Amino acid sequence: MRKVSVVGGVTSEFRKGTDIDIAHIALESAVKLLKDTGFPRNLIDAVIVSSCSSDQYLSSVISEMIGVTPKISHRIDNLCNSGTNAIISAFSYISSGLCDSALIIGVEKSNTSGKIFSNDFSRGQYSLPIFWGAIYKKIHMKRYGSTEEQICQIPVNNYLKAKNNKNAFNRSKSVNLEQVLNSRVLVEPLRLLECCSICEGSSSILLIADEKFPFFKSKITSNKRNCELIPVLIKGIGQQTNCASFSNAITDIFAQGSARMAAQQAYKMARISPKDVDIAEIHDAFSILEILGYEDLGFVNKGDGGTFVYQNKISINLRGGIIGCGHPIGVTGIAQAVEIYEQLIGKSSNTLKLNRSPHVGVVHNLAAAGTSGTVLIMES
Amino acid sequence: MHTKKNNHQKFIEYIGKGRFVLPYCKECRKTIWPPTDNCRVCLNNLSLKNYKNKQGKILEFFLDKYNNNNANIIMILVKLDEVILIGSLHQDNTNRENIEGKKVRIKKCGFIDKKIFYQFEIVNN
Repeated sequence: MRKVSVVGGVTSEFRKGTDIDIAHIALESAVKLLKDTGFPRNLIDAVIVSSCSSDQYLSSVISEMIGVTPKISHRIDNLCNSGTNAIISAFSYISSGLCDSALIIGVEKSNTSGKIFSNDFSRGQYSLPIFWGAIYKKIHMKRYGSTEEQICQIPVNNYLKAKNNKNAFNRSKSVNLEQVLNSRVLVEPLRLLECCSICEGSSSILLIADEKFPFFKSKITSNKRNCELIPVLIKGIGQQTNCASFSNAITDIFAQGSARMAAQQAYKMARISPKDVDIAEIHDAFSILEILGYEDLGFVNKGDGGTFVYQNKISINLRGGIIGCGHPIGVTGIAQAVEIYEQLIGKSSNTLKLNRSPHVGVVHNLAAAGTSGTVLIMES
Repeated sequence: MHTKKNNHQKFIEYIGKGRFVLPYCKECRKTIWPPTDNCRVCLNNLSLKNYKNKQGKILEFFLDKYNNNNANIIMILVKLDEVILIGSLHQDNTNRENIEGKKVRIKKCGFIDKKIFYQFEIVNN
């Protein structure tokens, strides 16, 4: 199996309510990535688009618009972890030798059909994600004793970080604990400021076979100035789907859980342990999910996630997380990976830079009430 | 033309008529989710079983202030054999703190705004 590296990534502004069509939103990050890296478009073997939009033939439409004629071109839709699933598909094509390079583009409009998983009848009339978000929060509080203050600290942390991220949807907003605790209760005990906003945006990332790095680098330096490729290895991948419906998820999420299994797979593949992690992007679509993420990634024991909120050993959700950045469904996993990549090479566009150089970063990305979980481990 | 309806179609049809059914596997002797033709455990055929009077248990309850501010409509998490559903409980003057663990059965089901709903009632022994 060949090693696979990330050599570039760009995330667009996250926002709501424009009349820009989805393909042009995709170009905002894809064109900048191609220009920034100077990567020759004729050497891109695969274009994979991650989106829950119903727009037809999207990867081929976007490929044509950016002048790429890939061998492989298709779309991945797996609700909220579409993005990391697209990265895994590209990784597989490259590691198997089918491709040497792949451009992965996540793109979404805020009216995406991915907002609601309407095929799950076990949710009854309560089909919106806020309902299972409230259920998970209440169960965690009752079963493990996590407190309102601990859980509501998550939005405080992530809004604060989003202020340093020029692309974050909530970049101009800051909240304190009192404001979160006093925000409108949507479904007991879940409050408005503990929830992410669905928005539009795009994020693009470029993967290559690591052994081909000298070849690609030579092609760029000969033609372009000020362009550079900096490789970061994808060392570990974990992907687990345990079910699709809420009925089966609710017993699974507090037992083994797809994300926990994905984390174990990824650590094993990367031959590292949770102690080696310097930075992490955790799927905080609701505040309680970040707490569950600490546990599933092995940073703390099951049930102790609430106590990890105040730690400063691992830098978490530096771009502002999903609560701070917003959640363009099919984009999120790619934007998380781009943030980890930029932090690992010391070039994050997010102005909240670390005091020390991180070496190992983790992406944690969930779908549909945690029925499916993906974990990526990247190493500089 | 394929005319035989699968369990998924039948489930929707029954719910639309207010008949509460759940998929049952005779091999596993369990209620199985989701409603489809084959058991997800053993892949044998599933049948739809009438659960009109079957009792379930309230695992948790929640006040849904997003859709309504009516304190008498409570969102509940119900376990019916092996299946867990999110439904509602309409009850005046409910002492909400005491409803966890109570036995319930279906009172009504159907479609509201194109979404399936399950309304339960507490079974008084």
